[in-house]
Amino acid sequence: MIDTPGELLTNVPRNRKLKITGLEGGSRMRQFIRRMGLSIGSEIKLVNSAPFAGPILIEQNGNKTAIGRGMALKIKVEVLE
Amino acid sequence: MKAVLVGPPNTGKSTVFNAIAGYKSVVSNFPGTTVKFMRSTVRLGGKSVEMVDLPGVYNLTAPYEIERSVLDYLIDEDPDVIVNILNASQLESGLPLTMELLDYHIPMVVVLNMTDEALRNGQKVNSDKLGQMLGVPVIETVATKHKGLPELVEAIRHAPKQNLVTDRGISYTAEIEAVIDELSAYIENMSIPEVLSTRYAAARLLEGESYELSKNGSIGTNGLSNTIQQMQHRLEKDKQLPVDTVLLRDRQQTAADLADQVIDETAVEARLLDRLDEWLLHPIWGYVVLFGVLVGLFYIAFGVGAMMEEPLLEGYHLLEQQLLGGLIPGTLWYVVIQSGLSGVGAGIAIVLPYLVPLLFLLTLLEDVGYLPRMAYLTDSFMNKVGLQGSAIMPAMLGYGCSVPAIMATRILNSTRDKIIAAVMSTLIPCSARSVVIMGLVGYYLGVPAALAIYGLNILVIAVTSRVLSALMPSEMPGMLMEVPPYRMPSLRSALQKVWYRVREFVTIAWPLLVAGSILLGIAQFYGLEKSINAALSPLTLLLGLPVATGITLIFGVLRKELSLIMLMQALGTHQIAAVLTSTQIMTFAIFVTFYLPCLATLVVLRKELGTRWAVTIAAITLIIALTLATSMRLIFT
Ligand SMILES: Nc1nc2c(ncn2[C@@H]2O[C@H](COP(=O)(O)OP(=O)(O)O)[C@@H](O)[C@H]2O)c(=O)[nH]1
Repeated sequence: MIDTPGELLTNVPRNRKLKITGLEGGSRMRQFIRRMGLSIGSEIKLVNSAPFAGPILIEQNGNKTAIGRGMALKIKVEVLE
Repeated sequence: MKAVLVGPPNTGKSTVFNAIAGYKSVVSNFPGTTVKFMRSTVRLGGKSVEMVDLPGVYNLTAPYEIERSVLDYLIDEDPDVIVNILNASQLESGLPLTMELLDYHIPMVVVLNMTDEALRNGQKVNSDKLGQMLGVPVIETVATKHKGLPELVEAIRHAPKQNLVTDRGISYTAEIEAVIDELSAYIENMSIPEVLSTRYAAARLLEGESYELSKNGSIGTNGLSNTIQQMQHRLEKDKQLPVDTVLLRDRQQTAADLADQVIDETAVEARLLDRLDEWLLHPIWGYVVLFGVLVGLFYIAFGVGAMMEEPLLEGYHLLEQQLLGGLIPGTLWYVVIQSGLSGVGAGIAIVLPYLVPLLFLLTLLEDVGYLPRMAYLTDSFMNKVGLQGSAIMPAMLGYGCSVPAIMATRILNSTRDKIIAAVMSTLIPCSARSVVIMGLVGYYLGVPAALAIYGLNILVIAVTSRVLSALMPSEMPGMLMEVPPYRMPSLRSALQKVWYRVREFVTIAWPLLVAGSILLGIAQFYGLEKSINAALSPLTLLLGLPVATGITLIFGVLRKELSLIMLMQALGTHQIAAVLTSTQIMTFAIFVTFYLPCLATLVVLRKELGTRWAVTIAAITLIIALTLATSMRLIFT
């Protein structure tokens, strides 16, 4: 499942509707973001990206979650609209 | 009767807890961890109820340290009622946890908190309908205004009488239910903890998690693993997704459908606060504001603290004179009372100028919602020392006073992060140590020399944190943190939170300060000073300091700034430069900056991290201080 289609979450424009299409890092990564109710298929928005290679901020169902850059680089998304 | 609060963070859990039971609350630890929970036994309408506030979790499917603690409590402590708190404005995200909890054989009450916020967001939740669909009472509340709390108390009291129908609550979609039923039939006779239902166990096994299932020994899935794997493969093939993802998404879908049915959309009230992030998380303005907040923090830590300290001490001296007036100086009683009072004074000097304002600031920043933003903006810097952005707060507070700084490590959510942040906060020179650095090095050797000590300190902290984080790898691979909406803080609940923390300090650390002070006073009275100095002479000689300075180091453990005052007394002069060389002054200041945490800090370290870690951290600081001070001496002589 590594070569899932989609763009890196860190590369997409802000405030667009996105869908998580792929995750690298296997079950450990799935477990990590599942803690916040995120998974493949989740519809999210990228709302902010901290400078100095800091975390990114996404929104799901109106809730904002900060994800460390290292982890964000393992998330692939598709821009829905 | 035991009632336990379970819910996601930032839903108002501690506000509800404090309002109902806070006044008698005590902090407890989960065994073997630093995860804390609040416990309080109160009478609710004539019934004695033990209320417990567990740490916030978003769901139970990813068993990290906090989640494991919550699962441990639910299974080992046999609560009579689960009080599940939901944020009414985030119903859809909260309900999956509710679904998991409904599968426990424990009566439940759902609290729909923040209904005011939901209304502002244009959502009116029909709680009666939600209650019918969940099969448990649902109580609407606005915890900060105490609205709905009497009704909640009633519901909690009557909850244990609820009929526990096994098939209450919401379920997965039919397709998944079928697989769960199938697996449930297989595991019917398996020994699982009593409070768990078979269908809960089945869902967990499918997900590939078994932490809570195997708590009472082996669940003996041996013969089953093939069956489970087959089912997993079937689901995976069918859905083209890993099973854990299938189940999570299914719960979320069910929750979304349910939320849809109970939420009436109303007019949205646009709030200026919601647009604040455009500025506060801006790549430039965000850091400008952050800088301002940190400067403000420093100002309060140094300026306000110092400003309060002086009149306080003056008033205290007046009181001391009054109390000591009737006693004859030079008698044992005089010494006991005088040193006892000085212990009381030491407590006042921590509590009023530092603990109260800094904890208040911390609580305010947390309640407003700025704390996670600070963490967000500083994450990449804190990563460099192996920590996450959230550790910025304990570190900054450390410049004021180590006590609130270490208390602030409670906002971190793993034992490992707390330990490293606590080491950091302990090593950072608090205002008392700054008095020594500035009063000794700054005064006699100049400000650049004093600044060099601060620089050295930062370097040492960076190295220590890196070493510790390499030795204790993190369970979490990076930041994953909710950033809640900005909220108007409630002064009442903020003050309440501060008071409960201050109370923890006052009841444990203060008496020890008084006792320690009296002991030292008595030792001095009986002329044990010489023996103490002699006993410490290997240390003072190693550091190249006069033997007479030994006792000052002991006083420094009681209160760091005492080491400076006692130094002048021990050397019999205020002209320190006349009796100590520059190297000796530097050595002394460096040693005092790093060595052993003060008594109050030690007590708080023990409270937060346990005895073993308090001792370990003390040892780490002592080793660092010895190494630095002796190398200082060797390099400059
Ligand atoms: N508007 C509103 N704010 C609330 C309510 N309950 C709690 N809060 C605020 O929400 C924030 C988080 O509350 P807290 O009790 O610390 O949440 P916890 O993390 O779940 O324990 C604080 O700023 C509270 O003052 C409520 O019913 N309405």
